[in-house]
Amino acid sequence: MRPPAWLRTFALVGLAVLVLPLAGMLTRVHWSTLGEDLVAPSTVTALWLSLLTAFCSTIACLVLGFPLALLIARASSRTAAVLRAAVMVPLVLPPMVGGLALLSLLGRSGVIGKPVFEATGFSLPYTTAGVVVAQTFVAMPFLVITLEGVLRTSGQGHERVAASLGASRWRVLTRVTLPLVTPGLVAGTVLAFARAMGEFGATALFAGNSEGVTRTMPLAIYTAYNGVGVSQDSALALSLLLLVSAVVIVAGLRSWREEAVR
Amino acid sequence: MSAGSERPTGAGLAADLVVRRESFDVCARLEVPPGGRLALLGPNGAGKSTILGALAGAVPLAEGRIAVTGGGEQARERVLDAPGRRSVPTHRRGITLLEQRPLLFPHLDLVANVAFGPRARGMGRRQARALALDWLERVGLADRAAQRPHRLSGGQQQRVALARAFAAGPSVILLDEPFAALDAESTPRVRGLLTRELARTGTTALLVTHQLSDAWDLADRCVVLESGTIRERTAPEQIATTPRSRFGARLAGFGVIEGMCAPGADGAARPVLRVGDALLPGVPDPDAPPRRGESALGIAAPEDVDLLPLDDHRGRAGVVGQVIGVQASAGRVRIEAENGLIAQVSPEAAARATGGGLPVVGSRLRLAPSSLRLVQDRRQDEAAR
Repeated sequence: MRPPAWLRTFALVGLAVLVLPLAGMLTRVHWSTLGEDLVAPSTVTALWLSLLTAFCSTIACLVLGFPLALLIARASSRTAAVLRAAVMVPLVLPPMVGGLALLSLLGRSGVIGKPVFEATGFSLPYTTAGVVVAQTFVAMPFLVITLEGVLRTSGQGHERVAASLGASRWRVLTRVTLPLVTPGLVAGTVLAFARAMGEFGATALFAGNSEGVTRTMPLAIYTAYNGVGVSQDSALALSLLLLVSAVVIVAGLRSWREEAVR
Repeated sequence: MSAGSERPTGAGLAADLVVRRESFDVCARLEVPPGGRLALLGPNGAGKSTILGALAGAVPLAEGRIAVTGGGEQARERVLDAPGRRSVPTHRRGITLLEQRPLLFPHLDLVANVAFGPRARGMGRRQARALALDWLERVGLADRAAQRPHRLSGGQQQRVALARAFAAGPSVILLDEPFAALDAESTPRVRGLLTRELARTGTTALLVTHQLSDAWDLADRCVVLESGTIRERTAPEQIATTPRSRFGARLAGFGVIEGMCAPGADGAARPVLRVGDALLPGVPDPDAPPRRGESALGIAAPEDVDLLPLDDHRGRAGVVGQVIGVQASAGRVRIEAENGLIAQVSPEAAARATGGGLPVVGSRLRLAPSSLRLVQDRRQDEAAR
């Protein structure tokens, strides 16, 4: 059934809200100096730092998030609801608040941060590792929620049969569960990586904005508009880069999924 | 562990289990001798799946024990589960499941699916593959060995699932309504294969079903489970002729009415079934006679139940019931009453009872069984084999 005409008008406006700003950005990019802007030292530094930290935090999300998703998917419905809510809170929370929360726990005067600092002289905030922690905090819920849904719907029947055929728990996990949820795992990982790449609020509060250490691409873009660090042109170039990689990720995920479904 | 399938594995199953559920406890004593095939019949929600879950190691026991007996050279009993002792995990039980859905692994081709069990039990890659190909040959799908499951029809998938279950070399195979999801065309082939391979390998089997025909074809004994309790233990053919439980009678097409076993009106030896204020004549079942003064089931073939007009009180020989189903076929009318009785009479007899025309759903009639077989209404799982 076709939706009513006025509904379609709203839909088109909605689409415009999502797409037009991005198109607008394209008109401001200085295409002639794009190459130079992209290889400017501070740009390359920010890009490299972003890739490195996002890669590390995605690995952390996978290593910690997959077991968590499996735990939630196999828990009783009541336990699962509580756990899922706990995972959802950071997802809904403004990342700034997340950054503040991380500071309160791991900062130099934080509950865990203080004794660690007094004992070892090490403090996590304002380090590259701090960026990874902030990104993991913000990105992991995406992976967990995506994966948990897939794990719940992908049959426990297969696991039951595999165990009855003589497969140990470990074998069931590696030979049956993991292959069955691979599409969800890839989707969740990509989402988490994209979220980590774009992370700003928690990073800014918890890790600060120091070039080469914690100034990732989003922070570099922000800084550019405050007149420090990279130029506005560079900021636009960086934004374009993020936009292109987002498009590539979405397109790649789509074709990959279609292939997986067959 | 040997995954060899040519030789009977010769293990029996002895389970005496109590599992707590929210609505009721499931209590059942099941014994299947080596190579035996037991059918577990029962309505939905009777606890059949709970029993399978307990046997497979997915549901904890509250009381009782599960053991595999015999089992080749060491003719010893191996306890799988009992409270207060560490239960043997599913993958070490040697109890394999074949369910309603084939549940083939979608990411593996057919050979790899069938080889999954042997590989999991430590067989070498090449040997497991050869064994899997043998099994695919047996179920007639060797030419599709390299294909993925999604390219197969439902019946073909179930044949692969069957091959996969047997290839694992189980000591006991649990068949959970293995034909329920198949269409009419593929059912006979899968059923034939299953019958053949059970006989050839001598694998001990427990079949869960609510089809009497499945039990006939595959099982040598059967038990009827109702509300978590075993109500009947018998041979499959016997359920068809002389069922002794509500569900068994329903399966075989008999009517069942609940009442109280009472002495006959003349104080004679023959008891009657008291239903409300009606007294129905009956013959006690020799194998499960009801005790006087206790609740009993009256079981009657539809042909042995007459219809009488509502106001016919002769000898209090009928019981009034509301009609819940009317079917007419081959010159007979089959009327099902809400009290459980079923009458099958000629259209003329039906018209006489209603005072003209066929009975309709919702109308009330007097049903008069000429002879009821009176059976103890078992509430306990009693050791009557």
